[in-house]
Amino acid sequence: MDNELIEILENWQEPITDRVAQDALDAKLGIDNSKGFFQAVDWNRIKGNQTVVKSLMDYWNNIVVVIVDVYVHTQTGTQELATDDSWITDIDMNNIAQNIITLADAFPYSITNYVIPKTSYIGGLGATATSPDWSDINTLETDIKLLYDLIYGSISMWRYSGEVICSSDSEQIDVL
Amino acid sequence: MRDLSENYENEYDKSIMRQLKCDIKWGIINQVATDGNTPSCDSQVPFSNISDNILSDSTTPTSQYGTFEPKFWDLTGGMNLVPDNAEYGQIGLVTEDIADESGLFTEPYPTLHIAFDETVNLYGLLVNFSLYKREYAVEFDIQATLNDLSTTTVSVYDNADTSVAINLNFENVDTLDIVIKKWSVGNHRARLTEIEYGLYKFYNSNTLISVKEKKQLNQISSALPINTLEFIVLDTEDLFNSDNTQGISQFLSQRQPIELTYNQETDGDDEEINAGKYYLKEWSSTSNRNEYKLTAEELIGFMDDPYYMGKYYPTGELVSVVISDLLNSAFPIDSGFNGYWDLSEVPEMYIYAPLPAVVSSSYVSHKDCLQMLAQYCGCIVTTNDNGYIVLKPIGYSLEIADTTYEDDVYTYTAFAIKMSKIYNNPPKAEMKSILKQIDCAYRTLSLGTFNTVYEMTISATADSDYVCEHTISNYKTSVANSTTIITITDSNDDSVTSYTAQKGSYATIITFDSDGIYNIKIEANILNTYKTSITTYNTDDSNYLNGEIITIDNPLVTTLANAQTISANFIKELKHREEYDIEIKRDLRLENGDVVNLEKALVSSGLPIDPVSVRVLQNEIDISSSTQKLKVREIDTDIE
Repeated sequence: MDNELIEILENWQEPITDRVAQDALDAKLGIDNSKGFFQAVDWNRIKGNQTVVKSLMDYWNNIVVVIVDVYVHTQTGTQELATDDSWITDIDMNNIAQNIITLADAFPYSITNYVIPKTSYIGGLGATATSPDWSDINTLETDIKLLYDLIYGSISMWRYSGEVICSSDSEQIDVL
Repeated sequence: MRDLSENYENEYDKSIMRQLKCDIKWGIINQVATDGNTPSCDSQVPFSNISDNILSDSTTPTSQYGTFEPKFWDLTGGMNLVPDNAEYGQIGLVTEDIADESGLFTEPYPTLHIAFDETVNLYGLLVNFSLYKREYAVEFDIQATLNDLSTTTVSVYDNADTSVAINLNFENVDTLDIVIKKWSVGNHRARLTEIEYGLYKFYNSNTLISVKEKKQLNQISSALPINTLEFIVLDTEDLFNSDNTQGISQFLSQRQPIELTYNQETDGDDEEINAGKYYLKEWSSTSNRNEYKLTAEELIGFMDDPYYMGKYYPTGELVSVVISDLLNSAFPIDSGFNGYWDLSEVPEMYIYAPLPAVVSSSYVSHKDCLQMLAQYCGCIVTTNDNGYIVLKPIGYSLEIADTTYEDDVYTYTAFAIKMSKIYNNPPKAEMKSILKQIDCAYRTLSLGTFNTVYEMTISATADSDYVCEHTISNYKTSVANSTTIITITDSNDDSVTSYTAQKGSYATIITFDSDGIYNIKIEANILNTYKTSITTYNTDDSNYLNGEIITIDNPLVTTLANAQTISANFIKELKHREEYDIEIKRDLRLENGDVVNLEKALVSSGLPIDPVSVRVLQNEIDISSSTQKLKVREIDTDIE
C-alpha cells in the first residue's frame, strides 16, 4: 500500500448507519443516546468521508470529481469544520447531500442499495419547512460507505490479483 | 349555531342532564407593557429573533433550529434547519453564550433587556423558555430599573419548569432585565420563546360562586347591544383585598381578557365548549365576605368615546375601509386590540356621507358610528370566539339538526326547540305592534361655498389633542374635509407654529408641538344636504294600515336605492309581530342570530300545531340554573 493511499485511508471514519427511530425519540426526551442526535462530530464525519471517497476515486481510476465546499456558520462567520458553537443552514444540508449524488454519479458502475439522498430541505419555521431525521442521516452515511466499500474493494482486488511476468525468450506468459 | 358532538346531543336528550361546569381564564396582563416594549440582547445568534414583539406574540414557536451544541439536535425531524435566506421567523431568543458542562454561564451573563415605552407596573411575569426542548433557566434574575433609577431584583433558584410564572410587585418600571445564570442542560445555549407581562388566574366551578352570560342581537342594527359576562369569585387568598399588598386589586384594569369555557360531562368524552372572550369592565366587592363580582363585556363595550373623524367621500369609499378606519380609531395600536375585527363578510358597498359627530345635541360615539355603518350595509354586529368584532350579513336559512342520504336524495331536518324542552309550554307570543310602514330618509349631498367653520384662540399644551368642532349650525349643513385650510399663528407674534392635524368633516383634531397661545382658523367647503324620505308599506300584512310607523334616519344613507334596501331589510325582519320570551332546558348549541323552528301548541287545548321559524335574539345562561332564557322572534326563512 503506497503512502498516498495510506494517507487517504487514514482520514476515513466508520459511518453510523444503524440509527433507529427510538434513538431519535430518546434524544428528544433528553436520554443520553448519541445516535439519536446530530452533532458536530457527525457532520464532520460525513464531510470528511466525502473527501475520502473523492480522493479514492481519483487515486483508483483518475476520476476527478468536483464537489461543493461546505462550511458551517459561527457567530463570527464561517469555518470548515463544525464545532459545538456552530450551525448549518438548509443550503449547507442540501449541498452535502448533493455532493453524495455527484460522487455516486461519477462512480462508473451501478451501486447496489444506493438511495438518492434528499436535496430539497427548506429551512425556517413555516409549513413548508423540512429538515432531516435519523433515516435521512442514515441514508447519507450509508451511501458514502457503499461508495467507499466499492472503491476500496476495487483497489484491493487490483493490488492483490497477482503479477504478470512476460518471458523474453518465449511467448509464454506466467501468472503468479 | 355551535357545532357540538353527538355525545352532547345524547346528553341533552336525557331527562336529567349532568351538571354543566365552567372555567374562566382571566389574563391580568399589562397590555401597555405588552405592546410598548423594545427587547434587546448583547448575546444572541444571528437567527435569534426578539424584535417586533416576537416574545410577547401569542404565537409560541413549537420547534427550534438545530445547532451543533452537544446532544441538542434530536433526529426526530422535529427540529428545523436555519434558513439561509435569513427569514428566521418567530424563534425567540437564542443566546450566543453557551453554558459550561454544569449549565453555568460565565459573567457577563446572557441578559435579555426590555425597555418599556412608558413606565409600567408589573405584578407578574410569565416566562416560557425552550418549550420544544423542555429546557429552562435553573437560576435567573428578574431585575427592574424603576423610573427613579433605583433597581429591584427577584432571583429565581432551582427552577425546574420551562414555563415559569413569577409573582412580582414592581411599580413604575422603566426597564426589565432577565439575567440567565444557569441552564438546565450543560453545553447548551439559553433559549427563551415568550414573555407575558402579567399572569393568568384560573377559576373553575370550585371557586366560581356564579356565572351569568347574557348575549343580545339587534337584527336590524338599530342599536348595538353589548354582550356581558358577570361572575362572582370566591377569594380565599384575599387577593382582591386592597389591604393585601401582595394582592391583585392594584393591577386590575379595564380590558383585561377573560376567556369562558363550558364543560359538559357526557357518556363519552366531555364536551369542552369555547364560549368566547370578554374584557374586564367593572369589579366590586359583594355583601358576602371573600366574594368579588367582576363584569366583563365584549370589545364593543369599549367604544364609548366620541368619533370626530367622519369624512366626506365625494367619489365613494368602500364601507369596509370606513369601518376599518373607525375601529382603528377606537382601538389604536397602543390599545393592544388593534386588528381585533373581521370585516371579511362586509358587502362591497360604497359610502359617501361623513359619519356625524353630533346628533340631536349628543356626541356620537365610535359604537354609534359602528351601528350606523352596520345598518347602512345590512350587517349585524357580533363577536366571534376569539373576541373579535365581526360584521356580517344576517342569514335566513334554518339551522340543520340532521342530514340523511337515501336513494341519492339528501333530507334535512331543521333544528327545533322542542315543546318538551320549554318550561311553561306551550310558548306564548308577546304580540308586538303590526308594522305599517317604514319611513326611511336619505340625503343627497352637494359641495357648497367656502367658509370659516372654526375660529378661536386657545391656550395649548404640547402633545395634547385639541378637538376643534366646526360651527356648522349656522349653515345647517355638514362640512366637507377635502378642501379644509388650517391657519394657526402664535397669538403673541403671529409667527407660524408647527402642529399636526387630523381633518374630519365635523371637527379637526390639532396637536401642537409646543406650549403656547394660538389663534386657530379653519376654513372649509360647506356640504349641502337635501333630505328626502321614502315610505315602504308592509303590504304582507292585510291589516297593516292599523300598524305602527318606524322611521329610519341614518345620515349615511345618500341614495334612494340605499333607502329602499334598508326599508326592505327592516320589513323582512319585523313584519311578523310574534315575539317569544321562553325558558328552555339549557342548550349551548343555540346562538344569537340562529333561525330555528319553535314547536307550538294551542294554549287552550295543548294540541300541537305547525312549528314556526324564529330568530334567536337574546340568550341568557346562568351556570347555577339548568334553564336558559331566550328571546326569539318569528321570521320568514329562505327554505320552504
